[in-house]
Amino acid sequence: MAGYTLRRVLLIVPVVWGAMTLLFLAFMVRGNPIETLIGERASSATVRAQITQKYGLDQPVLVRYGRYLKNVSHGDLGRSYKQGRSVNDILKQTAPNSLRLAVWAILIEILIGLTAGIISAVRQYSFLDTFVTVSTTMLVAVPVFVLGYLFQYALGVYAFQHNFPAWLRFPTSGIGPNKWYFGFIPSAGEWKYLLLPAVTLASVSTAVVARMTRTTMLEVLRADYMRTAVAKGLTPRRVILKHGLKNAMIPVVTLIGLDLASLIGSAVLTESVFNWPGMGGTVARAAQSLDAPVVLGLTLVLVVAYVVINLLVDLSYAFFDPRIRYGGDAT
Amino acid sequence: MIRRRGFVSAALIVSIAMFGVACGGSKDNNGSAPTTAAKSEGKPIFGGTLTDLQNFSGASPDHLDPNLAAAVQDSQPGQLIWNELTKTNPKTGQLENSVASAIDHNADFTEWTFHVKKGVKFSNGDPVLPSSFAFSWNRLINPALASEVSYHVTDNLKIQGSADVAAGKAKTMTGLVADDAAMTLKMTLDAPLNFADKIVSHLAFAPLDEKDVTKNGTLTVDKTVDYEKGVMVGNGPYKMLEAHKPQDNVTLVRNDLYTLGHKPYIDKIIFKEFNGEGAQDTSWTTFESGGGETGYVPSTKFAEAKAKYGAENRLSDKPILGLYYWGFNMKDPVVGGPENVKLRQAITAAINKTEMINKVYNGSRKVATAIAPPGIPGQKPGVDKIPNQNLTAAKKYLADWEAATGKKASSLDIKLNFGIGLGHGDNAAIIQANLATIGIKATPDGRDGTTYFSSIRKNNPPGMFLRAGWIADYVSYDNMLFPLFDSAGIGSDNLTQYDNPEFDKLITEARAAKTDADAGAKYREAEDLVLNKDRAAVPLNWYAGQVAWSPKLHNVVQSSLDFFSYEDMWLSKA
Repeated sequence: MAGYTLRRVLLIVPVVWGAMTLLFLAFMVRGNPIETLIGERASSATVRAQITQKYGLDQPVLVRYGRYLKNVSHGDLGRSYKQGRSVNDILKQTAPNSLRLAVWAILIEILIGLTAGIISAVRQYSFLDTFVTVSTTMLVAVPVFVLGYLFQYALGVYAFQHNFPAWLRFPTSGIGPNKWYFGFIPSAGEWKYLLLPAVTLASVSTAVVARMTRTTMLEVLRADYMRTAVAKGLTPRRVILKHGLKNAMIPVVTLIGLDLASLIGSAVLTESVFNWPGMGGTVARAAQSLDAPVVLGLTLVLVVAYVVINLLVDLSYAFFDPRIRYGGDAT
Repeated sequence: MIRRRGFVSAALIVSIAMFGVACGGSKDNNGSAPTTAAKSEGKPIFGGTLTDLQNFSGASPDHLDPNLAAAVQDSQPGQLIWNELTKTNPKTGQLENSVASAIDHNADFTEWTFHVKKGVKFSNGDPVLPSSFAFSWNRLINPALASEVSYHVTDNLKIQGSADVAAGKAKTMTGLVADDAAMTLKMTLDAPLNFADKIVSHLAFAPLDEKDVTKNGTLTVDKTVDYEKGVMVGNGPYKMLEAHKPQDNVTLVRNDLYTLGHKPYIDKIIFKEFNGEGAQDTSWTTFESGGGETGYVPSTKFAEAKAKYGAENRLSDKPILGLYYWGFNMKDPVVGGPENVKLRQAITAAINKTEMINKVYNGSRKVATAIAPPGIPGQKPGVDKIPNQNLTAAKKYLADWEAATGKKASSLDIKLNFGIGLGHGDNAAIIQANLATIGIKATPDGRDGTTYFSSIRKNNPPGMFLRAGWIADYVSYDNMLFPLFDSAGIGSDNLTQYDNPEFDKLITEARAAKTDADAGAKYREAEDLVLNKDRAAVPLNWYAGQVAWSPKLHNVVQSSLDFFSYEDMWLSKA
């Protein structure tokens, strides 16, 4: 187990290096960011030269690449072309926001998705099953931004213009007071800002988790050991949760794990609709404006997060299925 | 100055202006001017917090440092944090003295003396001195800062010695002398300029407290750029409450040491920032759900908003000094040159400006019948003799062109060049359809929006019929003509590569004119050349305000330069 974990951790190095190199080269091919730095207006040769020198754009590609790797190895992710700020500062500002949103979306996904999937499987072909199937299909089909706009209009604009009680009115953008307990629990004034984007972000994944849970649960429920468990006289609840759900969880956990990793950095649409200041939108805008240091720096962190979460998901398999062993000692 | 709002054309800006000058002596700073003010309402009330959702509805600011801020929206907080030597009155559009108590100049406008008011203080209590301006202006062009608005000094004012400072050969300009004892700032220019007092009203010329700017170190790249990451100190009606939080907000509170105008009514202003593809829609939704007091109306929702808020006098849709136009590449063998004037006129007469405004901008803009919009001193409406679509005239022009050149319209393929996004593609589609009605084939050529202008400037690949836009930095006729059509602007903001010595001569004469009337006449003559004799461009529409506000907010005034005077607004208690 330890050897396996160590090998996986060491694999992070080539993965990260490969991703960084590819992105760096991509930005070289994409062109000189000087036009973006200057903006749409014309500029004198002097100003162009000043900006070129200031950002080291006059250096050969290899020199810039070498300097970038050296800086990254020292924990310096560089300085944004567009904002003039340290990428480390941008990361410190946006990463917690993305992480909080992703974690709450995942919690919603687990709570609703798993519950709906289990109910749907246990009550196969019932009204509840049909309801879950229809509603999850609808959720998957509706684009995130449409759902976001619907929430905004119904619980923001309409609620405000029709004098709904305060508890039924929701802010439609921003992160609010940005006060959290223990890093993740929203303060009294915060949860209203969090709820709509978290539910929106969770919507598609929740539906997928519900469908996946239903499918795997149906498969497990037909297994011999489930009949054995029932025959032993265990309560239906214990049979389903202890013997059924645990065995059905591996593909679901894989899905949720990968989802957490992607939600941290890929919540661009949700962040955009709700003006949530996270990493996804920041990377997307930086890519559009050829702000290479921001793209490279934030992507580096996302790649590491992705690999680490993947590793944790893999390691969690052993918990859900004790037959799984790592490090070559499996039977 | 760049306008950086979503659906609107991002425009360029620069340059200079001219009008109204006396022959030597002191300037009275009175000129004809635009009025884009809403009427005042009731008795002002002190207090409250204004949450602004309109200013940064498109994006967070790139810079707030007055020496660095380039976009209109980025400059708005600075308009409240700093007061320059002069300022444009938001209600009347006229230039007024601000920190300057008086302004003198010599007969040929090459030497200017600004007398600085005594007792003006920065919000930290330090005095505002002539040296505060000299420090700022030298910093503005310091190569370490690499400011994109340094052209105001180096290219527009052309203060003696500015080229050396910009090139890193000197630290200070020889033509800028501050005398703190006498409270004067003397400026010597390389060439006569009769509207230098207008140029110094720009935010880039704000006074800076040297002690505050350099507290973290000398003028090195990082230290000086880092200045805007902290609480910057100014001399305006408001001051920063805390350091700017990008992607969050800019928060200002009343500056109690402000003495250059009345005490601002509102205690605190929070400029909320919106980012991402749907930023404007999100900001508008936030406004409509009661999340703030001001909101920017997306063009797609303008008609609906005008019906709703306009009826309650809570919408600013007054014209601002900006132009959306498409220009002809005058060096292009197909559409350029004197032999193709009739073709350019035919194309101009085929375009339906009203259709474009209604379909693309939901009626939020006005049909442009000249380059200079209403409100520009000396401007006369209707300079363009082809003010809108006239298909009969278009066909006649085209027939004349065919007869004169022996070419056939059916063999043409006009490239419509534009940067992808912001609705320019929709405009290109309308132009394409309009030209088809007179038998001219046109092909949209959408380019990467981030590099579109540089590709046009570099002729790589060359443009043929290209989209452009412009918003004035100063209330001046010159500012709408010189940068766009003077031969000195080729390779820069003269995107059409229009090169007519007669035009250049008229601009030079206008700049040297001794009276407003003389200057205005010269500029109109120059504009007539561009539009009617040479037809280098097609003015399509003039920009207008698109801001709505809550019934709690009073005395909302939008200046013709697209700024709001928040210091004059107040909030009702309810």
